[in-house]
Amino acid sequence: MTGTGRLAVDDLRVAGETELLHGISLAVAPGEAVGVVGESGSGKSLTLRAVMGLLPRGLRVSGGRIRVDGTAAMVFQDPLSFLDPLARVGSQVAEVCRTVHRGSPRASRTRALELLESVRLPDAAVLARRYPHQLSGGQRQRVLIALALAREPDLLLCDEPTTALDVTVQREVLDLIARLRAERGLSVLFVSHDLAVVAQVCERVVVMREGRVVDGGATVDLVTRPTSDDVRALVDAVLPLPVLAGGSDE
Amino acid sequence: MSESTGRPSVAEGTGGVGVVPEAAGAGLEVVDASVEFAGRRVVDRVSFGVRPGRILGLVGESGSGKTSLARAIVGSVPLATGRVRLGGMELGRRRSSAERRAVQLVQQDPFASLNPLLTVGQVLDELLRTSSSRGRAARRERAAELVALVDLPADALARYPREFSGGQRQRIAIARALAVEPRVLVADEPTSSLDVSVQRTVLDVLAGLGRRMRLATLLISHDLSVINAVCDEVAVLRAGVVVEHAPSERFFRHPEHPYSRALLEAVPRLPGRR
Repeated sequence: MTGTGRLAVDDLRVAGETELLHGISLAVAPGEAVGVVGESGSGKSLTLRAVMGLLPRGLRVSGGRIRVDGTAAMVFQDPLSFLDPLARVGSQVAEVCRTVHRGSPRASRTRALELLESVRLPDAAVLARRYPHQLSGGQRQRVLIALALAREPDLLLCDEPTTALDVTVQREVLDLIARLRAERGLSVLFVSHDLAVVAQVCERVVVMREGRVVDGGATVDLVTRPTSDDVRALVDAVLPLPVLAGGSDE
Repeated sequence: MSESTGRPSVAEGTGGVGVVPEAAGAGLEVVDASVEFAGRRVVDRVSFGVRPGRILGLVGESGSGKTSLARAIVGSVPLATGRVRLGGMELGRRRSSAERRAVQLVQQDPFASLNPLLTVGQVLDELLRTSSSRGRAARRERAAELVALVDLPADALARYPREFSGGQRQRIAIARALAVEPRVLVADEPTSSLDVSVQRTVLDVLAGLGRRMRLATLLISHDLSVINAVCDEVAVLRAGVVVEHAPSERFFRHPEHPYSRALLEAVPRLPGRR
């Protein structure tokens, strides 16, 4: 499936009392997955928030252009802060389906259940009737992705979506994003402080530091032949593991 | 860093790896330990030992019981079965203040565990005053030593927790744990609220001091690359049960339990890295 979502950020500046983003330019082509990596304070999450029009109070876009072609939806690091604690997760997804499709309540519920099943929420019909706090971290993150998918997005913006998850759950969520790209042609902008996580999803990476883009390129090239200290630092920060011997049966 | 094993080298501590709990008589021994909450068993008959100067990594996902086990070891929740021994002596159900000092916990969120109204110097001085017979000048000297041990500048003593970065705060938490001269350090996810870029510094400080001061260290983490960076042995906790316990060299290349292998395969690795 070919994607239609496209993002072009050109010389983006964000300021409060002082300027925090000093001219960010990056692009996501249809169907492409681009990672934004950098340490805390590099401005990577702020860039994402500016794209979504969700800048924190007191900050504004002070220059440049943001162009989104298609519908964008966002997945956050902490689903609990985004989900309504007083509503069952199934109705929250159905609610979004209803505003997007303007269908009947029954059709919206059916669609919500489909979405929850498509993100492989186990026992979707049962868990849909639960409240956010009754789900595990991994289950909540799946609900959040289902909620984003309910907007029928062409572009998925991910802000550290797996940072709070167990490693096996993280693997499942990363695989899910890869599958959604393949099935729906979603374009993805994926922000993380962890280059190893970004490398699982993105074929291209943009490196940020102190509100600027300082490097970028194809993920494999950057990782195997880092050309700047910024990239070397990100590569070195990924703690190595010995190569695991053998497959399941050799 | 040693490319051949993929493990950063940490000074000292190159002795043989012993997995048998009985051999750990001089350090921390956890024998047949269970923890229950509201009648539900969350840790089920777990046994292991950590000798002085050694580091055991306990890996587990959420719900594995690893934090409950940590709490039981430091004595903040009771054991349903089994016992915790230190240097061959059983730690009582109600621990004496000396026993409590001997087993120190370093937690995930350093900010939550530091009093925001006290300077680092005041925090350390208070601990030194209640845990030792040092006079004022000796306490000041020891506090300066502790701050230096965790690689913070001397002026850190006069500053408040909010003035430090996450990694620095975690090093302050380590200094605070060391202030009472413990024999066992239990570090529960000490780096998981930190950026990957500062993880390594905190781990190096923790491991380096543990080895130099001959502490028996239990490093609890969900992150196998953190465990690999500093631990001599690995124990895998799943649903309250240790499913594998092996020396690091063997575990990371040849895990025996399917769950251990699944955990190792799930870790995101950099493409093309040797």
